[in-house]
Amino acid sequence: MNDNKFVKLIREKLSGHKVAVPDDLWAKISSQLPATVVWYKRGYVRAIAAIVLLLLVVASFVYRDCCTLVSPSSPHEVVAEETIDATEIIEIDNTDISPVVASQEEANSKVEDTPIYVAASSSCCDVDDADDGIAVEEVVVEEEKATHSLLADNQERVSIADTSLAVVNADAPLVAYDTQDEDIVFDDAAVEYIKHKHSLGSKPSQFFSFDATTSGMRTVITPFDYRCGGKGELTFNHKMPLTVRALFEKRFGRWGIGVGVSYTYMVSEYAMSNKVRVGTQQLHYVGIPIHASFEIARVNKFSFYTALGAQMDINTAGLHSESPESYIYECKDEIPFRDEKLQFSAQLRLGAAFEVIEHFDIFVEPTLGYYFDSNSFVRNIWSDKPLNCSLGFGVRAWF
Amino acid sequence: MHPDSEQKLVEACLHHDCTAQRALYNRYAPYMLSMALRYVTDADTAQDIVQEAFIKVFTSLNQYAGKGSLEGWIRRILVNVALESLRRNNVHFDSIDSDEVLQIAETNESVIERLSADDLMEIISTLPTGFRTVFNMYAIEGYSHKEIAQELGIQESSSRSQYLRAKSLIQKKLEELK
Repeated sequence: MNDNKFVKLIREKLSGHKVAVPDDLWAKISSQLPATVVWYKRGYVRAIAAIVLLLLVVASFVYRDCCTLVSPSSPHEVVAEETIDATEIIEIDNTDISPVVASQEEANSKVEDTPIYVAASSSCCDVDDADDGIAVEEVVVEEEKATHSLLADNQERVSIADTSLAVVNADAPLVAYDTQDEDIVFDDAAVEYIKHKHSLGSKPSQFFSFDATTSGMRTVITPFDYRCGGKGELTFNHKMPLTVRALFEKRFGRWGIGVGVSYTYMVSEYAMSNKVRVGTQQLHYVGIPIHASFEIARVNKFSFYTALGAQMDINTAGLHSESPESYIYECKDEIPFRDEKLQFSAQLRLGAAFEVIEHFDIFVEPTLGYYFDSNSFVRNIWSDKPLNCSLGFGVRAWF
Repeated sequence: MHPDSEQKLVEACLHHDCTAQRALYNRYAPYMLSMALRYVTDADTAQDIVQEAFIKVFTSLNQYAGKGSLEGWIRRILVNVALESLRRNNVHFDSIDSDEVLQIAETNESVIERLSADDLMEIISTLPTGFRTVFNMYAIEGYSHKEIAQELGIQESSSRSQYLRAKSLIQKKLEELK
């Protein structure tokens, strides 16, 4: 009988041979398998849910019935009100505008018992004659819109009838309107003050922000071939990475461009199935993020925005710390390394900010990021789960 | 198993479906345990090999590209795990210098055909570890001598020699059973 025949007979005899498996073997196997992740606990599902919820909140503010801020249907619609102290002084910016009145007496003499709120067109501020002050192109006086009322001895209510109008408070040394003739002046600083208070107008156009981001990703990734005196595979259990970031952003209207620097710290546990190696991996990254942002809406002290950007991360240090149970612990308890490959990523953020005090916000940013394959030998959560989500919290200072 | 149903089973396992994982385990575990017992004679060690192999199957199932049968892919994983187990137990697959082969009479096909699978397993288990490993890999798993040499870190000629010696020993046993 030739060898081929011999081999064929042996294979046929043993091909269907099976042995009864112990009852407890499956329990031992299943206990070491990654836990089943129900769909609603998956990180990216939660991130998408957070983004959708945020969009719904934004939409509910933007499209609510009263006091629309996006596009007032009527130029005479009251969009904001504020109660200010009667004696509150707002400094007049005299660099751009001629002094509107020389004195409070002049202002009082110009305004009698007449409506004090004036709806002006968006093309106000045309200067016809510097000597006469600033002339408003269109002026509509609505007596019914006049809501000047003396609430208390030291309080007055100032209402804004349009998003681009001149605000008048006759009893405060801010501005004087003479609605009886065509010489109308207004205080630009007062307008800006009121607009800013109600988030209607301009704000400082740049800010610094600082935030920390943590990811909800945690995974067990195997196998990874590791040859150290023989074949072996390392199993990694990646912990949640932590990122802190400092960012500078310049706003151009609703759009903005930002650049910054970030630091990311990652920890993973690794083990070889035969326990030749067991230990902890630490990675340190410095990143340079850039992004373009767009402010979706601003409501009172809340603002909602989205940002799309990219980031380059540089591995500054890495360390494998062997556990005492590792076979190589006695001869090599720590193995430093550094990955020279650059890590690039793209990120989409949806954020909500709240103005705590003037020019100071706190914000939260759900972020969806994709980390491109860097063809690196280093295993981390970016290489093993390129698409991931994170949640950032931070503070922002405008200047 | 039908290719379509096998593919569905794999996809379900990739989604960590416990039922699918158990089904795959039930399907292949008895054959894998038999295979492990051909490499190691100790039952506990064979179960450890099967356990470790299935963990690797489930955690690296995303690397199964669908080319070739799933069973074949699982068998290769188990062979690797079995060899790793032998190395951990300081089994050395030493080279053999001479090509000396025991001269025995050719075995009749009918002897093998009358033999039960359990008896054949018993005969294989009596072989020295090195001979048994090479015999399993060449005669049953279908590795070439070149592949066996690379896996075990021996010469290709040594793989051939060890296989022939294993075959001779098996044939001698079969003659004794006549």
